[in-house]
Amino acid sequence: MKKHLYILSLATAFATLLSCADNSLEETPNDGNFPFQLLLDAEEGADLADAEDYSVEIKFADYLPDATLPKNAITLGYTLSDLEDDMIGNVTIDKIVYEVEMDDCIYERELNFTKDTDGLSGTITLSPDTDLNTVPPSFEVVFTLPGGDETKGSFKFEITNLTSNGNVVLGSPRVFEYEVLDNDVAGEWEFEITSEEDLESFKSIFGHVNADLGKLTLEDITGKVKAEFEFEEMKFEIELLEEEEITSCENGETETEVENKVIEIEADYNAEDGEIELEGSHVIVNDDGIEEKELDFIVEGEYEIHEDDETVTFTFTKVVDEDNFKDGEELYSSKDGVTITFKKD
Amino acid sequence: MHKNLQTFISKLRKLSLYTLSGILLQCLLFNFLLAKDGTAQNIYDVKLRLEVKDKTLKDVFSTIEEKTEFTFTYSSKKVDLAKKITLDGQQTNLGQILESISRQANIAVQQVDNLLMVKAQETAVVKKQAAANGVIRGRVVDEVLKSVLPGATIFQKGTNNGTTSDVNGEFFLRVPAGDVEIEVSYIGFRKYSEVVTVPENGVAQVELKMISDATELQDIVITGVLQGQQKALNQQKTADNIKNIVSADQIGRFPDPNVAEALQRVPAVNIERDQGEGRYVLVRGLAPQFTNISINGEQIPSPEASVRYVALDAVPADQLASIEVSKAITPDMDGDAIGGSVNLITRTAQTENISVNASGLMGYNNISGKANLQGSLELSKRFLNNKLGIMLNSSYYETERGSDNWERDEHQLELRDYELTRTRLGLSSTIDYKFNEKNEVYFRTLYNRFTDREQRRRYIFAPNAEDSPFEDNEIERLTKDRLEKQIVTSFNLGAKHTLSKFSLDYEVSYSEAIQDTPYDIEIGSVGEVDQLSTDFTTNAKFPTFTVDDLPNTSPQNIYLDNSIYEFDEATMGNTYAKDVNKTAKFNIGIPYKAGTSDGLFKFGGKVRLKEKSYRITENVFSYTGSDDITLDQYAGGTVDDNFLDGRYKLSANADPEKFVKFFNANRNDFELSIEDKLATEAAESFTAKEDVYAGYIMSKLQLSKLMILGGLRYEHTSVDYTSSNVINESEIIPEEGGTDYSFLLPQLHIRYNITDNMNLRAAITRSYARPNFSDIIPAQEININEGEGTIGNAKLKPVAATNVDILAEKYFGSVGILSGGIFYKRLTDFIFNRRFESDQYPGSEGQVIDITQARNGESASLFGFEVAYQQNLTFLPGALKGLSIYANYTLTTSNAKIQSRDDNTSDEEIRLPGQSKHVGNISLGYDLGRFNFRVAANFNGEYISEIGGSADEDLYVKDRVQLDATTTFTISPKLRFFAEFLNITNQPFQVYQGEENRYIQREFYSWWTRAGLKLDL
Repeated sequence: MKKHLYILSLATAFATLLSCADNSLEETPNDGNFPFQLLLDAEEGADLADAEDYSVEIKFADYLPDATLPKNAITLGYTLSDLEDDMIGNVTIDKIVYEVEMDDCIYERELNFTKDTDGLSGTITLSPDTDLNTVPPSFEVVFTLPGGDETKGSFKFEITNLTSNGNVVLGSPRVFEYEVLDNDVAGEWEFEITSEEDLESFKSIFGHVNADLGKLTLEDITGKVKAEFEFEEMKFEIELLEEEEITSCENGETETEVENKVIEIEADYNAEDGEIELEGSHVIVNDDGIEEKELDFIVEGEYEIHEDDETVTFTFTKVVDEDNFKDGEELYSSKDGVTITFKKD
Repeated sequence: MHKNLQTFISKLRKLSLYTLSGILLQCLLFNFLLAKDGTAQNIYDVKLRLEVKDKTLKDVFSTIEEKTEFTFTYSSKKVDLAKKITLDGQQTNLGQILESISRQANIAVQQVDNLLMVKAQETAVVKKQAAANGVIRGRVVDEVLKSVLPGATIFQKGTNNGTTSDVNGEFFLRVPAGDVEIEVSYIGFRKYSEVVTVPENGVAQVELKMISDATELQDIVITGVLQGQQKALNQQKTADNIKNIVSADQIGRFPDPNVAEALQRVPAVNIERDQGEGRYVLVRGLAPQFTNISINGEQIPSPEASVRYVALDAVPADQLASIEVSKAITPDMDGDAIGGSVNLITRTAQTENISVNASGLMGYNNISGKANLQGSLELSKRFLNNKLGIMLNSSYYETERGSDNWERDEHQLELRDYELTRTRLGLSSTIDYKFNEKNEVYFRTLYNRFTDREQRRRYIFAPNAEDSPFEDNEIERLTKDRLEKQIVTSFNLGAKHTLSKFSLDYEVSYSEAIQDTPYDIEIGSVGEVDQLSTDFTTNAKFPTFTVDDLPNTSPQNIYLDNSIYEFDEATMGNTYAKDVNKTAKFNIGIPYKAGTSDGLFKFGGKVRLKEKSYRITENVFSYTGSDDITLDQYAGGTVDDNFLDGRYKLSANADPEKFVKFFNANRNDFELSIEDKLATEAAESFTAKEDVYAGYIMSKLQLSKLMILGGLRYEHTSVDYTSSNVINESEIIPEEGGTDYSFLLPQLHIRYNITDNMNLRAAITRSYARPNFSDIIPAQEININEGEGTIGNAKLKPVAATNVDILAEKYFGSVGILSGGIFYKRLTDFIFNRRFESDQYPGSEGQVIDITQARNGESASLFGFEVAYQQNLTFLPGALKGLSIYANYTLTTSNAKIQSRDDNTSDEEIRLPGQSKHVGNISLGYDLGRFNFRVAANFNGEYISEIGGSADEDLYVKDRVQLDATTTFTISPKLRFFAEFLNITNQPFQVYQGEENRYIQREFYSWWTRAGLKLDL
């Protein structure tokens, strides 16, 4: 009897022990469900005052390769709000378009949308494309803007809701803010390289962040260098003498043009109070021609706007990248710098 | 809600603890009731006078029982109860009376509490032997404790014909039919001989009851500790090969809760720890993959995805009957064991009386400030006239641990605060059925579940040390919460047949190991500060830092302000690794005579089919919502306000539960990184099949004092796998392949018995070690743009080794050993990571890139010397005779040739990773009656844990001495109280890089204790 009591006691003690550890999560993360997320491509954007239209992309966020986009229509609600200055009464959705590529040809197609009486809200219907058999992966909302040289103001565009019978949700960002681009250097500028000195000056700065540019001689280029400053991004285009045939096909019509090749240098920029900083990335190619790594670079300098002759003078004083930034190790550094004057294009 | 739940859990926990305490107290009280007579008088202190003339022994016993509290036990078949006894009344106490009776009746009487055990004295009768053969099959047991005695030597007296008892104390011995005298010897026990009548071509069943030297009349204290030591040494002494045995009882001498920690006490064994608890075993200075881990002689699959070795912290020590560490393998053992072979042996029912073994204990962990619990319960009994045996064993362990840790990576300082809940559940059973003396079947099951819930809170201080315009002074805050479950299950069904001409045993088994991580969440937040610097030189042991010019000790320091940290990303996922072994094997043993010597010829075969797979789900989410979220919005949980003894201040880190609620409520604002998910999951997932076919022949011959065992083993392995190559972190190419290899492994062992208690052993063996799955599965990551890649090597050959071992061992009658030996290993095709340029890789379009790949390289060698000494110093005078010593030391040196890290075209020599030059244990014990106290120190010398890009980047684990103490009080032979105090000196785990004062990690666990009761009914 005593032995049985022992065993019973011990079994009870053991069962008590077993009930002690609690390893469960109070709430299980919902991380195994991957709905399609529709979202705006950007949170903000801007264009020059005289822009007559502006496009905002709405797209599906990256999705798993074995997933198929919805085959049924999706309805999005939208609003236009916080319109200021010249934007009041002048901004509306012009059209909603998407592109389909078939047989190396791009076809632009439109989506239906509605506007309420004030034109500031409505719905967009993302219908399945007959050729894709699904809804398109992305589309653009094209706004009509005032278009005057002195246009001022801003507005907000927001996707307010989404209706779908598929596994689709509205992701972020959902709000896009537009404003008129008003920094000093915004717009297109042009610089004519006419001498070896001009070319070498340009290369002494930007040859460090573009290996192709570093190899150019005067005989290789037309001399035309374009600078385009948009919202937060800029690019230089160096036009080469060498030409290439570019064939494009849009909406079933094929067109072939001969154009000069260009070398592009792209960067984000910040231009304020006479100081400019370009920040981009460049690829390091080894002796075998293999791209070894990609490094961020920064170009620092100053600028001066000359409104009388519509020119801007850039004086670039320093070029550094992630491997060469310490004092004495910069890719380029000079108090005087290299000065290049661009003309308004 | 969360707080309420915590309160509820806390109350539940307290309730459980109270319940447990109550039950333990209840057990204790019951035991006192049962054991109240246990404080028996010494028989020489019992005043008694008897005067009888020509009375039968039986009558005299009855008279003594009437006049005293003592009771006689005896076998009426062996003791002549009709023997006439005369006592003249001169004897004044019971002891003297029993001495007189013993002389007259030719018996021995032994006192155990109030029991007087009577045993017939030896008779030396050897009758004429018949020409035909028969078998003696039997079991050797301790007459007093009723436990089996493994490793006993059983000889046919006057011949070389002998054998040893197995782990269940069982043996069989082929002898000529007729009356045969067999002699049994066992360290710590008196020699015993018995005449057995063996039928022609039949089996004689015997049970040989041994009497311990320590349980002679006047020495009535018997402890399981001593018996465990005896068992281990006897098995070691009689083993055919060089091996160390750790018996379950012996484990109780040291405060080692799991198998890995129990093994650290064995000579030439050191362990790798995780969070202060032993996990992996390194035998003779070789990394864990060189050691084979088995349960009941069959390899355990590894729950971990990339490796073959098993984390032994998953196995509770009290689930086992014993642990064998074979340092030189025999042909009937698996050949993939260069370092050694660790065999975990589960228990079997021994007697028809129900046996109950239980333990319950509680403890305290200083760093976590929380309790730990442990309990075990084992029931076993034999039924149906000893034919059917059933053993059920269960154990459970739960601990809440933690660690305080800092780490360094260049200028970066990381503080890590760990909080862990670990549980170990072990269930095992053995059902065996003996049809008759010749045939038996058995079915063994084992289930081990180890869970490890880990919350890791990290601060990473990353200063912009070079003042780069591309970097900031960043402080990263990360909280990880994950649960890892390791489940090992095995089923073994087998049979043994002992026939007069040969013996046969065979077994089929299925074993499965799973590592399931059902959730693994890490939440990262990043803050930028104006000024941040770290200082590792002023105080190399505890580095300091400043943030915005305030020292780390300042409570106003801005790094403690959670509002400066913006959410960065959350990683969520799970993994599942599974490894299944299906095995079938057989062994046939045929005895033979070579002149006057007896021999055994043995052969057998084995097939093992392995399937291993690993899948991972990893989802990395960034936040795209319109408003930034900061750490203060989701911080919470435990805050360690005494981190590294208060040297660093911490504030609440991310609370995973809180964050998950926010995540679920705002799921649409979190974007999944698809490319990372696909690349990670494809690169790491794999399936593999490995089929092994093995066969062996061997012969053992006993030539007087010399035993020679030699043979050959052949093993063929065929591997197939499927995996994926990931090119440029985006392109995924499926991959499949395979390889085959074979080994012929000659083995030779010699044991020479210089005296009964002194052996000289030598062995020359061949063995090998299969590559880890992570090295052979081509889970390839190629980044052509960056000109580098890591690729698997399906053609990788196993490491092969020739091993030479020489060992001398002297056993002491007072239960002890002095042994010393040398070992040498020559490894070929040593595996190491080679870096080379190649244009041959998946996805190549001719570009030459730097490839890192595991390759077979040059040779490596390892030489060592080991010495072990353990003895109960009973020869010392007075109170000093209670002292005992346990010590061992191993010196190992090694060198391996690898590709030079300075010049790809030449070689350099390094020490083998994982190899410590010095490893040792020293333990002093003191026994005083029922009280035993032991203090034990384990020394693990420094070793290379990771080979760096150059010698000064090599990572070394610094040497470590852990001091533990344990005390036991034997309340009665059935009940023992014990208390343990571990890591008394708070020894940290320390890693340095290149030079000794360049610490890159120091992790502290503080001390922990346990105390409880062990009950054996």
